[in-house]
Amino acid sequence: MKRLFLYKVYCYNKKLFLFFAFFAFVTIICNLTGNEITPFYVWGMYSQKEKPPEYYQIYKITVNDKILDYSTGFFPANHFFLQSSLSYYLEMKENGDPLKLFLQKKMGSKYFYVLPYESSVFNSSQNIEKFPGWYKKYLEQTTGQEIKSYKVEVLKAIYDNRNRIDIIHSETLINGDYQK
Amino acid sequence: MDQPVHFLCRLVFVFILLDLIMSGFSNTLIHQLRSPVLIFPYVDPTFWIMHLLHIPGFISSHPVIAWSLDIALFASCMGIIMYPGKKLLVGIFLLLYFVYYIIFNSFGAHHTHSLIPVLVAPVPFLFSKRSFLFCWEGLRYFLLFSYSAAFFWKLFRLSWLYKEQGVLVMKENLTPYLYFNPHSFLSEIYFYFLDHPGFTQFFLISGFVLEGTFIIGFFTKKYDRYLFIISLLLPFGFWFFADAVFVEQLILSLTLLPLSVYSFNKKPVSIK
Repeated sequence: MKRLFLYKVYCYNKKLFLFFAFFAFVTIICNLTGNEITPFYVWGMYSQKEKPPEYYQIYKITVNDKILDYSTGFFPANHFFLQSSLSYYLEMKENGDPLKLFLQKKMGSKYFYVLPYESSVFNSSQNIEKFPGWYKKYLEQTTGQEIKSYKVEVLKAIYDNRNRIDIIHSETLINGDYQK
Repeated sequence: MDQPVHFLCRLVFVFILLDLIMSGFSNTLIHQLRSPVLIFPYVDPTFWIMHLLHIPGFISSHPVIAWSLDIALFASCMGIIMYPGKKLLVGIFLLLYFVYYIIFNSFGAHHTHSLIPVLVAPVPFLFSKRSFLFCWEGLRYFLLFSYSAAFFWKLFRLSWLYKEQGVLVMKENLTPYLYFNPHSFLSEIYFYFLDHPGFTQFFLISGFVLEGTFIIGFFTKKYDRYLFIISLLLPFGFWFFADAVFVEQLILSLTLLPLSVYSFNKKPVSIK
């Protein structure tokens, strides 16, 4: 008992003990329930059984008629921002704000509690419409060049028997021409 | 006592400064985000509070404020390196970094865990003398918990029993790279792993077991040097197999080394 870290903290300073005990307690509760509340983190990444998807999505970005390979030559966080924001936009364009849909489904009739906060925590259709303009600015920031045109295509890819990539479908997500 | 703590403080904040410089090269400092429009608060109440107060949107949509916050972040970090005993600077840095953390994850459209170590590692430097030692050790438990929890999540969800797990994780994360660079040397290695799922699964399960070894750290410090080495290896594995860069996690690895390592006179510093 005397060798326990929390016991030593308890003997040294009760306030510090309460700080640690509270942090440990809430962190454990968050992990047991799977709900993350910063700074009480849940460390469950890649723990779910991966299901083989019907296809994998690849975003093909063409800037000023040249393909931008964001998977190399960019720092990881830059790559993350370029790709993750596109996935989010695609999801929103297809079905609206996924968080709103999730909460409506989860809360059912109690959803009305969220109504007063909708404009602060969900993305409005106006904001979704602004995305292509913002993405252009971020691409300019990333590439350091003025963008006259850019296009984002969503490629659906599968792996063949030899584990090589086949593109089975392609559709345009954003087509921005700023030359005029 | 102050000498190793100041040295350690400088070491931690030099690492953080390098990470901030890397954010600059990554175009992810607040002013570089160019007034982003889509938010992702998810179901994290802390993010909700910040967005209800309109703090992330207000800062990121005003270039002068965004620039000021970025400059203040760098300045406070460099100030701590110059004056490691100034707790006020550490407090200011933590506040600024918290705002940066919320903005990065909100507009990055995914709540990544990679920045967490930068958010928690400075906390012990807010405390003096013996309280610092307890907080530093608390940080060690935080690291142990992060890996142990990752192990238990996988253990109880039984994903480690699924023989396709390794290959599917790779495909999920590396398909764009393999599509754009099918003939690179790294792609050749990746394709080799995809062609040999048993081999990939071996590495996945090895990583899972290595995460589990951190449990031992809750009972003894005798094996901390081995855990330190494992904590350096795991982020490499996350990068290779899942394209997830967790270099910031290495800051927490410092807690696995005895404080005497950071002392020039090599006198052991410990809690009794």
